[in-house]
Amino acid sequence: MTEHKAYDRLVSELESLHARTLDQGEPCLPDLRMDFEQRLKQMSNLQRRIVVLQGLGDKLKAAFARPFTWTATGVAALALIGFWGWMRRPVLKVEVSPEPLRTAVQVLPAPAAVSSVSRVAADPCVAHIRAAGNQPSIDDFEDGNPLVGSFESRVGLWGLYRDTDTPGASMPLTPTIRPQPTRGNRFALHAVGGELRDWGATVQLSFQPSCYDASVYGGISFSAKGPGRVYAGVHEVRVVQVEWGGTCTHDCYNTHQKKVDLSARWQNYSLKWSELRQRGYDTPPLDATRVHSIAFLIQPGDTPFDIWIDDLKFIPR
Amino acid sequence: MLQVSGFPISRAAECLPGHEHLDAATCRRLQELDTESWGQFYLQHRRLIRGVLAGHLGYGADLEDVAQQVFVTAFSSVTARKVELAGDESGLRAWLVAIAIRLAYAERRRRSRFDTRSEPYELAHEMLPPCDPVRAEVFRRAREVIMQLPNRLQTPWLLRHFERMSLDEIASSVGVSLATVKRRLTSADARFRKLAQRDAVLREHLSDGGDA
Repeated sequence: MTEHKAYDRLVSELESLHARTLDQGEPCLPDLRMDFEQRLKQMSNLQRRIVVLQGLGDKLKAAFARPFTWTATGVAALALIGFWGWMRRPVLKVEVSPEPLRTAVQVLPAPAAVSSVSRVAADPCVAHIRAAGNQPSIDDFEDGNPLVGSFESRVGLWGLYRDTDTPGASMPLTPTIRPQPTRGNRFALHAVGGELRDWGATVQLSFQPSCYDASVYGGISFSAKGPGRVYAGVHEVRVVQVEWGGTCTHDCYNTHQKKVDLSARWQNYSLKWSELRQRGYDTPPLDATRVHSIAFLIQPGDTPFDIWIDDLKFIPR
Repeated sequence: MLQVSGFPISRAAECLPGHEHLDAATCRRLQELDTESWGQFYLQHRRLIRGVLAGHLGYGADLEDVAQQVFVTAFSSVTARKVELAGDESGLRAWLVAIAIRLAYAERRRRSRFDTRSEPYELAHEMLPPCDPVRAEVFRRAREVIMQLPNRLQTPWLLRHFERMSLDEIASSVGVSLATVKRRLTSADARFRKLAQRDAVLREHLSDGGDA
């Protein structure tokens, strides 16, 4: 066999493998077509609005081509300027005695002893929500939005927080289509990020109000895919800073957590409350009656990261 | 206004599975932005576009997303009246492939900027067909060689050998003359052979005793 024939045979073999690999990954076609048509319908609506706006623009352009319109526009502009001047006219100032104001303020409830140095919040767990124990699923992400599943009065938002973000300016994390979607399981949470050097990143579900009583359950379980390493854990109210709904004023974010090594394939993980530990010695166990948020922490050493999380649920005691 | 037509339907195009000549009525419905016709059009050409994208980007999970983006871009061009569709399947294919190539290059640039850890050219394990590991290894190494080719040689090579496109269609998709496509294909074949000779597994398959 000549070298050319061998080359042709190799190329033909590669083409056949290429075709087989493509066909192997053929997901459900009718579903995909529906997705695509939905996408186009949304685009069509937008396009229609653009066309309407373009038509309006053309009409305005034609109107301004006539001298009468210029005169009318000039009059309207002068009227507007006059109205603006009238609105900004000097107003008579009235002096108010401070006594009635002081009386009004005294009616308001006096704040608790507020330190001038540090802010101390009222205990957010005074008005907590308690899990009933009959709907353990926290979020399967099939709703495709960053809100937690509304089971057992749970309200919360998924977010991705990175050390490079401005504090308080995190992005809500919206579920995306899984790498191999099935009819029953199409969405999962996907967090991707580059190299980080300070405290890393966290994929976090923050409950609202910021205290959730999950003591009826014994822990959490989830499925995840990496590769990579995360620290799955729970923020108690007392480790979260006051401004983010906790009660912590110093040495905050000492989370109850456990290291989880993720593989390149989906795997299920279960963590009992008793397995979650804070850093340091002789630290108290997790108080599951005062959960602020559920977090998947990524250390700077584990960045860049590319992790998938799905089917988060509580597990029974 | 660009008119997407003017290429004869080649024998290579006729051989492709799922190939159907677009009639004037279908073209008119596409031009009128009929969503169902676009859905059908998407299904007819999806295999070709996925093939082109997989050749350039690998068989990863986001392949379908980029493929849909190709059709969305095509749809946008029609809605913005940048193109007018004519009943010429070959011209349409070349136009779609040109969009796919442009998006594939953009996706590669995006990946190289933001996601340095991902391996866009590696086959995802889940996507590998159930074949013997030797063939899978040959395929993996061959893809590595293909990815070493510069874009101007790699794209014609992939379109010709993986998608069996005609030289006319390749010229139209890449935006060069027919003579340039022929020259680049010859050059790509020679470069592929040369690079493959440096690889122990591929060298064996290029020799007489190869069992590819």
